[in-house]
Amino acid sequence: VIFTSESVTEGHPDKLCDQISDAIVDHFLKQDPYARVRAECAVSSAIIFIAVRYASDAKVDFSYLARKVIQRIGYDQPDFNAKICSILSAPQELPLNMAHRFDEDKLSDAEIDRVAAKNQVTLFGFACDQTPELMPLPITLANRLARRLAELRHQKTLAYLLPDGKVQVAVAFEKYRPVRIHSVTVMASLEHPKQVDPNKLTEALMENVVKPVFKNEKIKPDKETRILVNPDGPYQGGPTHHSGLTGRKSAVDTYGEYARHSGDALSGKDPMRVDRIGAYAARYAAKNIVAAGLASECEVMLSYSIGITRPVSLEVQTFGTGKVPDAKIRELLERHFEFRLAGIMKHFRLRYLPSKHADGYFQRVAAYGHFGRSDIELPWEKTDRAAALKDG
Amino acid sequence: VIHAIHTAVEGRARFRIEGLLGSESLKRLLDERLAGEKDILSASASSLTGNLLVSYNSNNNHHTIAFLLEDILQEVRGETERLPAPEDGGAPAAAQPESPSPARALPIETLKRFLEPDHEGREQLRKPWHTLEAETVTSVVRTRPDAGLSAAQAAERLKDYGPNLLPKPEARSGAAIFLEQLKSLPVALLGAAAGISAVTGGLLDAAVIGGVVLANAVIGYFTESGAEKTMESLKDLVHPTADVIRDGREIHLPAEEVVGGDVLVLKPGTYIAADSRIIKADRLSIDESMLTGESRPVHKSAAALKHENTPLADRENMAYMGTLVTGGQGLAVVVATGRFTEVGSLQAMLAETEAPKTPIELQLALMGNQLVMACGAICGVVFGIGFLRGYGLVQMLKMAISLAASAVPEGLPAAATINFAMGITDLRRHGVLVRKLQAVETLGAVQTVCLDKTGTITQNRMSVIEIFAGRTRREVAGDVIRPIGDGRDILAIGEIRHLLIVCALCNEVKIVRRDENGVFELFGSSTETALMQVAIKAGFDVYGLQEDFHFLEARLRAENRLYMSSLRACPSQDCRYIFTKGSPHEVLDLCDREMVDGEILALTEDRRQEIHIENDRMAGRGLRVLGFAFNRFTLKQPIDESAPMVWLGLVAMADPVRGGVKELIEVFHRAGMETVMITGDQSTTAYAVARELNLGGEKPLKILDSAELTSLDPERLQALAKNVHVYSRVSPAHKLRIVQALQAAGRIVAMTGDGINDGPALKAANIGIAMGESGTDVAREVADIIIEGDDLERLVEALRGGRTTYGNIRKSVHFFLSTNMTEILVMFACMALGLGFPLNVMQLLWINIISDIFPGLALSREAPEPDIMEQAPRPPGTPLFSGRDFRDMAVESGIISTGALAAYAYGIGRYGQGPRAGSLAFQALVFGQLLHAFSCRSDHHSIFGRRHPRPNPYLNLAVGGSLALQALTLFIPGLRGFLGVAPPTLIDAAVIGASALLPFIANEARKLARPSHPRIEEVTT
Repeated sequence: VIFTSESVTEGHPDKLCDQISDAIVDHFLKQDPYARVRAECAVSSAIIFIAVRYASDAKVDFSYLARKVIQRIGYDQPDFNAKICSILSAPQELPLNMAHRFDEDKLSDAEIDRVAAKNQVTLFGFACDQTPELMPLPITLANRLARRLAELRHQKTLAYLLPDGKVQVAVAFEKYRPVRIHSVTVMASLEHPKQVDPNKLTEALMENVVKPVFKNEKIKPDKETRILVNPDGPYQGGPTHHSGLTGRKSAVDTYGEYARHSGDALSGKDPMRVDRIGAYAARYAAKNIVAAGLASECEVMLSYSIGITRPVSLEVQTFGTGKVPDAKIRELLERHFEFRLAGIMKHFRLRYLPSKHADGYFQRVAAYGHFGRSDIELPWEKTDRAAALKDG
Repeated sequence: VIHAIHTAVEGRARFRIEGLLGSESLKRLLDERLAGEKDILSASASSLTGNLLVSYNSNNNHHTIAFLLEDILQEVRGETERLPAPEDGGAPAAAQPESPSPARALPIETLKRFLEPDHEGREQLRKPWHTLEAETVTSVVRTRPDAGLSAAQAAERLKDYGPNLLPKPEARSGAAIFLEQLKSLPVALLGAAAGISAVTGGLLDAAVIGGVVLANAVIGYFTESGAEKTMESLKDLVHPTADVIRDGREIHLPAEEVVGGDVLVLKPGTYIAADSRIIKADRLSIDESMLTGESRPVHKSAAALKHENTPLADRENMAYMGTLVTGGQGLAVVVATGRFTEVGSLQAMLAETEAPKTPIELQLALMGNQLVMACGAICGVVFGIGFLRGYGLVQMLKMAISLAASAVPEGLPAAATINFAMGITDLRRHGVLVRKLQAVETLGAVQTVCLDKTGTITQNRMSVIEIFAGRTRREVAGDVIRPIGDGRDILAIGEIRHLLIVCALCNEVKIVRRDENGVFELFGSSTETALMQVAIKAGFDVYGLQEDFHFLEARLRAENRLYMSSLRACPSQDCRYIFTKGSPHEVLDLCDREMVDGEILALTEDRRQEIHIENDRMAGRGLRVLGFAFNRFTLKQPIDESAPMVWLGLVAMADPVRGGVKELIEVFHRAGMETVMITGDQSTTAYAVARELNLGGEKPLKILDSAELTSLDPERLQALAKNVHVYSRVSPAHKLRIVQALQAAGRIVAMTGDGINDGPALKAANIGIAMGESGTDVAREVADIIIEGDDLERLVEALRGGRTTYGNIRKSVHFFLSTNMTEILVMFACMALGLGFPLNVMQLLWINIISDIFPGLALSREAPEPDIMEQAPRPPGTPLFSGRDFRDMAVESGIISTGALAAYAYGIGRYGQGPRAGSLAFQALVFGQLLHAFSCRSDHHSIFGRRHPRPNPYLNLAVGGSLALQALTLFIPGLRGFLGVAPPTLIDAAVIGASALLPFIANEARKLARPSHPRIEEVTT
């Protein structure tokens, strides 16, 4: 079986939107941890649309944040850069709801029990032992390749690259274990389509992207692995060529379609949104199960209903890899994990994270995946409950 | 020397002759010389275009003609070379177009001036200035780039060349206006009627018709010459000025005193006073749309261009009269003034053409002509029927012509002119000066009002209220920084000291010391004045500072660079400084260190965040926030402007929103207009103000943040502009784009501005509004209306006035049309039914004077209808009257006519056909028409309705007077005989009363059934 996962660089318009949305969330939380905010963003050519609904006293300059993100990503082409783009923002202020402005650290268990979910959503968390981060191999590789591609531009190693890029990794599986790399496709956008000879580009990307990423991998491309660079001819990237929208890259954000994921956007939502942090909680649970050795592959499903605190359903699926029955794992989860909205917030301290990180918190997960990150510390990636799970 | 530019047509060619442009003398010379050439059939040279059009015989083609021309030019040149040089300025070398005779007398002398231009001659020198080096230009025009002209030189040149004024089109004379009244189709018809009457023996009739014509002309003359006076007075509202260097000092003088060789100082907002060659430019950009039509500002430089025939629009080193500096700074040397400028020659071309008519005037003129045709046709039919029924030919002819004459609405175009004049006078009483006739019409159709934040929405009285420096927030009250904590001396704190120095030195304010006690007067923008005040109040000797830190250079804020810098040398410290202030984000991005407690520390990412959040907090309160930074170099180091700077702090200024603006915005919204705010402030500040004002109305606010609107695709901007309420961080120069985008989206746009760079946008807007008090000359020069005293409430008055004027034109015309139609209907119906003539010729003419003109004119003095500001603006491009309106008018006329016919029928029943029955119809018709004037006061407010328009004393007077005159026809036997009217019995009187009153009641009742005006909701959805 060959399985393909795709990732995009931070300069991809969809991802650009995700990062702007999360930069806004970060900025609100930095000034007001109790801020409620929903930020959505769209980009088309040199126009960025930002719609923000918020309930907070914090003052946030959306257009400045957006420009900051564009600058950080490195768009500096004449037709799209931080300075020349025009930003249409539609802020909608909602009245402060005192019921949402609580410090979960100070809440008693009974009070946490009263903070109900405000959204109806079914979420999935997944983990498997294909990589040290306990993620499916294809998406892990794709994300790493994409990040490497962007780094090359930032380091000016390959200065002719544009920030927009796309990577696809196809991995051959046998009995649900990855065995070899079938193909790697890199779509790298260039400022001018004919700027670089396609063969030279392939060679440069092979040397600077593919090889370094696979250097320490157990499974490396072999002679038969097809490495393709811009197979359809020059790749025209950036918002001038295709538009972007917040929340459209949910597969890149999660498991590269190797496992199920909710279609809801993760970016642009404050931590009171269970459709965002529930996904983190589910991943946290699944990862700890695999880390505890209870299974080598595990999916945790959470279903929330409006007005109900606990998930209306909590299901565990180990796809036959479980050392103990799934029902038993489910019991363990109920005992050791917190799935109530305020409980998750309290455990991960999500409202307070942005003020601790000068360069933003959520906006960093908005590119190269919310899960399985080895470059940044994420509370839901900790395996600190594995021991407890092992002990039963 | 000669370029063929158009040779496509056989036997004709157009040549560009070098040096012909602007040279009246060469033009004459060529004309004379070519007239004698046998191969040339005709030739016409134009000094305005520099072209020569030649028709030649079939022995030639355009090449041979070109050779011929070259020979002729050569020959003349040779002659001049043989002539001795004229004595210094002694020869009467005047060759200005106004004085053609000396030029004719001394053609060679004149040509000599053209070939070897001498600046002392009165005809101004034409040279390809753009191809000359700056130094050459200054030496040719004998000036010094640093010191300019001396006062004496300037005075002499002013005397020699005359003031820098454009030729003015002449006003129409009284006689012209009077004759104009007689040049119309209706008058021609009446003339024909008079002629026929005279020929057929009806001398009395002819005299009466002549009297009617005369009366109409006199009335027209008085109303129109009054209007003309009003229009004429519009022209002298503004007086442009210029900043020039003379005797080494920058002085401010009226633009008309600028002479060739003057050095103009160019700054954003400068109105270029005369054509000039740029000799120094720093990020200079100029809007030349009025000359070239290109809306984007052109970047200028001082470098000479290679090609002499570079098009005007590409002459990057020239600044042309009437264009506007939109960014940067520079110096330019004047090379042509007055009529010798580019715009001067354009104007000369346009001078003969008449002032353009407004759309309504055009519509009315067209409608008038169509109605004349229609009336003519109907009268022809009446004539035909009458003829067939056996009436005498002459009788029918006279009848038909006088019917036509009385039915034709002669006052249509005048109705608009008079209304405009009245509107302008009314608005002036309300403190709104109207500069362009058309503005009155357009005002009523405004759909989107673009408001400048500073000065229009806010008071433009900045005061510093907070300083955030050295990680500490300090309040400022009354320009004094409040001490906090330990109460240390403010100036002992390094960052505050530095920040205040930047406030004082990176500042364009002019300081004038009033007395020795340190009282200053400050002249400059309110923002910079506020900053200077704080520095002065903190105890800085700003004069001393200016001396300690020598000014080296300034980098003004330009498009896409939202900060300004001042480069200074400080000999006492052996170093040089850059002081920078501007948009907090941009200035912070320039820095990598900050000053805290006098020490310079690295600027960490955390600290940046803190500063941003502090900025957002301040801006979120609607404050204008500026960031401050500096950098220091030793004398040995070169000043590196791109080197990372030292951050000093943020200064927040409050500019309170004017009282009542919120309510006014509400008024705009109720009147179906959208409000748009434009500001250079960051989006957070803009949002805070917009939210306070509820600028979006019912819709959620949308803010477009763009420092470079020019880079946005116009079509996209157009799509966005439909929904945007706030434009933030906009360079004033980009306001033009906003206006254009809104217009492209189909909106009629009004735009306020106070001048710094607003000129192009004000000009492009359908209604450019200059705010009087703070408005600069530029704004006043290009605006359509000027609001006195900066009071936005007057804008509402203006809009109300515009709508009222439009409405009143409709009312007048409505009255003219519907009453005139009744006459036709009554006559036509009777002819068709074989009921004879209800009205005789005299009666028809009487109606024409009594019931037509005065009530119609009085309707133009109607007060605004009570709900006029609750209706949606009329959609652009809608005709004055829709098909529906015409149908309504026809029905109204039908009802009135039915009344008159009923009276006539009663008369026939009682007295049989004849004058007795006719006089019943006559009286019923006149009274019915006069009452109808009251119906025309509103097309939806009925006398039965709840809201009534304010009484119109003029209408009461006009109708009252007409009624009294009409009553005289009943009682004065002489008049009765003249009109052929019989005295009515009491019953007759009752019948007349009923048949006039009942149609009025019926027409008023119809208004109730009519759907009310389109409400705002219906139009916006």
